[in-house]
Amino acid sequence: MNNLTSGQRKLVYGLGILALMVVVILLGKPSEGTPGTGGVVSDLREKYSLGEATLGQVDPASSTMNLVLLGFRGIAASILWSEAEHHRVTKNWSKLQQTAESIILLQPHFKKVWEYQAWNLGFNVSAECDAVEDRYFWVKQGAKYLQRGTKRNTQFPELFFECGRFFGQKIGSADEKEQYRKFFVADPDTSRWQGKGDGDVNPENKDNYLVAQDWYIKANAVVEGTDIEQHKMDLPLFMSYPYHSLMDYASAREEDGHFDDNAKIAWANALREWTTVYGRKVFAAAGNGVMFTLEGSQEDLEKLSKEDGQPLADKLHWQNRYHGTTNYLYWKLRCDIEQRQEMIDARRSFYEGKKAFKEEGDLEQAGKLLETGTQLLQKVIDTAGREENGNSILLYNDEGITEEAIKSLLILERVRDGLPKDNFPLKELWVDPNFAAKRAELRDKFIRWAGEN
Amino acid sequence: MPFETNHSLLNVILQWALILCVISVIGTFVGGVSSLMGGGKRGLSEFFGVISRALSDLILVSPQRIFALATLTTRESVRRKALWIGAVFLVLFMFAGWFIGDSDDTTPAKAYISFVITTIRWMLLPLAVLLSCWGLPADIKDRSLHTVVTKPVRRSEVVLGRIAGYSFVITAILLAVSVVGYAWILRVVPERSQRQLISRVPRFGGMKMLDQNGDAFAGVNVGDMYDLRRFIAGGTKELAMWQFQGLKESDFPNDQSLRLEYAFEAFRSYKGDISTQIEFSIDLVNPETNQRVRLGVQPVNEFSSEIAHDLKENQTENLILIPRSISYLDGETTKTADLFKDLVANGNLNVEIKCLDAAQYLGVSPGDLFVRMPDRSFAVGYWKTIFTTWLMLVLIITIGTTASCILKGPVATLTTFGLLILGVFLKNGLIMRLGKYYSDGGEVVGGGSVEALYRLVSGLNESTPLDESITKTVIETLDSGVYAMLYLAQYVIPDISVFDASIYLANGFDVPLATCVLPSLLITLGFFIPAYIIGYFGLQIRELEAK
Amino acid sequence: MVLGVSISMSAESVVEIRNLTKIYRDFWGRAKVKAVNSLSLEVKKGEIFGLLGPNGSGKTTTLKMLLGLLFPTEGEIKILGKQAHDVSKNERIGYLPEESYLYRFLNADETLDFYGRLFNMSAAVRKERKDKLIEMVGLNYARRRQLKEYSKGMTRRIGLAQALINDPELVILDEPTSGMDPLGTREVKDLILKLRDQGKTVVMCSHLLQDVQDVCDRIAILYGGELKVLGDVKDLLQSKGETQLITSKLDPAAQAEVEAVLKKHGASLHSSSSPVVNLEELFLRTIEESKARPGRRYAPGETPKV
Repeated sequence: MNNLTSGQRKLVYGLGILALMVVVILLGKPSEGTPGTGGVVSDLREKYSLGEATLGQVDPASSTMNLVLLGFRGIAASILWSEAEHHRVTKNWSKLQQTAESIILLQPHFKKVWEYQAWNLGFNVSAECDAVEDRYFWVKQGAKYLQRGTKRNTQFPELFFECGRFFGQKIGSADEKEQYRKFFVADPDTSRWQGKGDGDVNPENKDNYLVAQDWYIKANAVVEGTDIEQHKMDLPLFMSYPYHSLMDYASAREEDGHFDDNAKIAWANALREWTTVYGRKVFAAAGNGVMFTLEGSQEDLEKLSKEDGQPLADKLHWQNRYHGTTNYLYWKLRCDIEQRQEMIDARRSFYEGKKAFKEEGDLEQAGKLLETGTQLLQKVIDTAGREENGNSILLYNDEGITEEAIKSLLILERVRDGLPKDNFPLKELWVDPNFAAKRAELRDKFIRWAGEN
Repeated sequence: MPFETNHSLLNVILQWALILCVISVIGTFVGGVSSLMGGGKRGLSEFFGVISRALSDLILVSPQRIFALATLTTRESVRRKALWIGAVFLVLFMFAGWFIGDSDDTTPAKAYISFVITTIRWMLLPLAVLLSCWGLPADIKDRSLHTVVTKPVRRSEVVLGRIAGYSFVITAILLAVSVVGYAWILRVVPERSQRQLISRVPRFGGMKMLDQNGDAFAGVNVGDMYDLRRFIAGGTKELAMWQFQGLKESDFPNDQSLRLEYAFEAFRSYKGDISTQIEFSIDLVNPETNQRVRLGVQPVNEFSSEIAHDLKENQTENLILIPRSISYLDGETTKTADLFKDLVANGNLNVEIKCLDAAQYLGVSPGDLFVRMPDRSFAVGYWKTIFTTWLMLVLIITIGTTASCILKGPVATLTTFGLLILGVFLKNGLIMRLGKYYSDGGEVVGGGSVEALYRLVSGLNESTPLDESITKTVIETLDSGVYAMLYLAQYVIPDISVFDASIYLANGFDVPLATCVLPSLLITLGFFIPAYIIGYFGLQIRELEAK
Repeated sequence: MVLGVSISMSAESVVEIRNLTKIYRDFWGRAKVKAVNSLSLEVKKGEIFGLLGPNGSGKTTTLKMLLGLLFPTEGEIKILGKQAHDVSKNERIGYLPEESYLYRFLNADETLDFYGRLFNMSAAVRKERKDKLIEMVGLNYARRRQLKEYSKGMTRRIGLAQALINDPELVILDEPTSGMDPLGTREVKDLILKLRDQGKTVVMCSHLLQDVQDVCDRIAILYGGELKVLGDVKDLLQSKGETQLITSKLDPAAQAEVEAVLKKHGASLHSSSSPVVNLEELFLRTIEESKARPGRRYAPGETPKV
């Protein structure tokens, strides 16, 4: 066919290989981290965020699986999904977890997989167990699953956000919150964690709300200063979660019965972060891009207006609108009020009064404490101010305070065999038809809690 | 664990022998008649010549020749690099962590055990099929078989030699990978899950549930799709009773306690006190004297066995230890009872479970409570599992070799794979459907395949009855024919799921002889004998030259 | 030289074929080819019997029916007094298939050992026979090499060895010399003759007439599945109406004298030329000559000196 000798042919092949290699290297050289150090393809990949590495940690197993399955990844994933569902229905939890692991090998960058299966483990499986320790175990499994999701996908703010929700809402406000919160800093698996929290979810042994705050901050960091969007809620609301966590933390401490100076500090902290960090963030109003901050006087906005040339009136309008959306001013007020000694004392009275009633059976003492509490709270409500129609700002904005007040009144009614006919502190809660449903619901709960006698 | 507890082996064997006899008789008859019709008297005598030759060929086989053929087969497989599968297996284990996912030291041993057994099964299964289905056809195609069968070799010896050779190869590979797998399990199972590496020996009892009036009832479904467990109401007289049999004092030497292991489910109709679990009481009752001993109260620990148990102090498993001499409260006085003297009557013992929490429910299934006999080591269960896997592989080799006696390589492979797929995935469903069909007297909503096709074309929905007409009769006759064929077919499909002992092993149970090992052995043997005969005739009747 | 050997024919027949017919059918059972048609013949003990015929004439089909690899459509076969499908007859038969169908992953040693085992031979006997046969077919140098590395001729040799592993009474050879070089062919032919000398019966088929002519005592010629010729080679090849004279080179005068003498006796000279030896003999002699006198070359115009 040709007249080349074997040696010459090899030489030609060698040169061909060399030439192709040069091209391949030029095009495909991996980047060293800084832009421009990689080959053409790698630079492009970075520019458009297309590489696996830009999405998060690369898992060799996952890549191998996808390679091995050729084009059948979708089919395999579908089979696994239905298998996972089967395992859930037949209550084979460890298999469910394993299958969830296999699914993420196939779909590591599919946000919904992480969210859905973490929810499955943390909520559905957890609820099936009867022992609280076992429930907590599965909540942790769900949380750990999500945490790994964030490692594999550094650009999904929702996953970080969901982590925050697991540690904040799931642990902090479940039916089992009392036990969960304790377990979070003192894992029931004592032999492994030596009386501390599970190091995989709480390495610094912090309160669950503070860990939640860390995750919310991470979620914010993904969104802030990048063009990555979150698809959960209005951005100012989304960004408020770390600061709400601080408030949750402060109030949870009180629910646990800590009314020392740190209570005040926790609320002060929450207020400071709410106003100086969250309040100072510059947001763009949805739809028109008017820039504003939630905290800030007219002068502050005027300054901003000069910088970007948008009219001050617009900024004031949108600041006002978003105060409504985020309930900014109320939370500011709340943090402020909660720091006051009267409020802390009121809460302490409620806490101790309830304890005296339920645990010690000292009805006399309970009545005294709860009465003091209602008086103090009434004072705080009055100083907090009222809306134009006379409704208390505090009571109408915060279910937590309302509930605690009604509960106290219910106990008081029981220990005193009825409330005074004429006037008594917090009477507005007792007579306002707006709270009728709440009262009925809490009365039901109260009867079950205290027992009819 | 929902394991079957009863199997009438003798019936199974008799049924098998009957089927084999019927088929042989029919086969002989059909063969005889057709040869009579084709060749007259001479044809008939030839036919009986073939039969008598077959009998001597099938029985008078020479071990040395079989050995020679088996050795040849082994050599062939080795030279065809079949052993490389072992290397692939090793590599897989090195990277097993990838497939088990993010394992920490709470990962249950189950995951690792399942991984090893599943990997072994699914790697060796195709190997067995490919090995056994391609050897003989290749031999026939290259005509190396000509050289063999022109030696004094019976065709039956060729079949046996092939089966033996492939079995030997697969045995060697299986042994190698099992040893690696065993060592791997021992090494990688986290320390805290190591105690799950055990072979528990359960002794199951029959269960019945009694309602408020002491009548048997089926229990309540609390709304689960998964209807394994039925529920009894707490704080009522409803109870679940297990009747254990054959408990012998000698099974518990040195005053060992009798251990009851349980796995119940709890269902709360209201939240109640979250921090306290639902509890149940356990009564031991002498079935003859009705002497009753209340053992005390236990929390359900629902699904706790799934996760590491040492989460809860002083409790490692859902175990109730019953000492020889039991102290119990009868009213105000403390009494003692001797387990075997007072409670066990002729090996029988009743255990009654009641849920204590009012308006809460306790879910039970027959396998949920069992007497845990002295444990065996993990190795026992592991090697039994490997043994059933081996039986499965030998079965596959037998089927594959037989298929290759009749069919060409690719067709034999497809046939064997097809049978396996049917055996793994469809057998149970098929038996269930057929059972339902025949128990319903041939009534199926929407009808069989022909009727379904008719409905599809004519746009009839499945609940509208067909018009009474000749069409209906024809359709139904055809469909019942299809069902009859499927009815026969179910006996030809091996139930591969029987061989999977890993569900026992992975859950920490010993592999039971009666419900797993023996059935596996019987299935393999049951298929081996007819397969051997069919394979022999396949080679014998066939002109090896014809392509 | 071959023709000069006289053989003592024994009356006992080793193979008897009566009215043998083989019809190949297609998938639907329709007759496709009549490969053998009413063939009857007999092979006597101790003779070398050749089946001749062009490709597709039914030689191999007949052999395979003898061995029980194919089933006759009609007719009867008796081989060593037994039916063709009787496995036990194989104890006394050696068969070399058309193209040594052996296991290519075995070496020569393993091959012979394997076939030895199929005869239930003891290890000692196997070893003895193995050594002897490998020596005999001249494969000692390659006995540890896998057969897939063998040349066609070597494969033929090992095939022949395996056919003789059981010291058979009847040896059936399908194209024994195909693929062999002339030297090998000669060796094989000598071997066949040696087998006959040991009292064995040989049935061979070939389309190489020369081979058959060289070794066979009796031949049958098949064409289209039908027997066309059957008889002693000697008789068949002897042209009874002709005499061939071979003399030293004659000058034209002497030749004319010879012609005159012939005319006187009423015979005519059909042709007068240098007699032609067959190609094989020429080739062999050339090689032998070259061995005897190395360095000698072919020169144009020269005719090989015979």
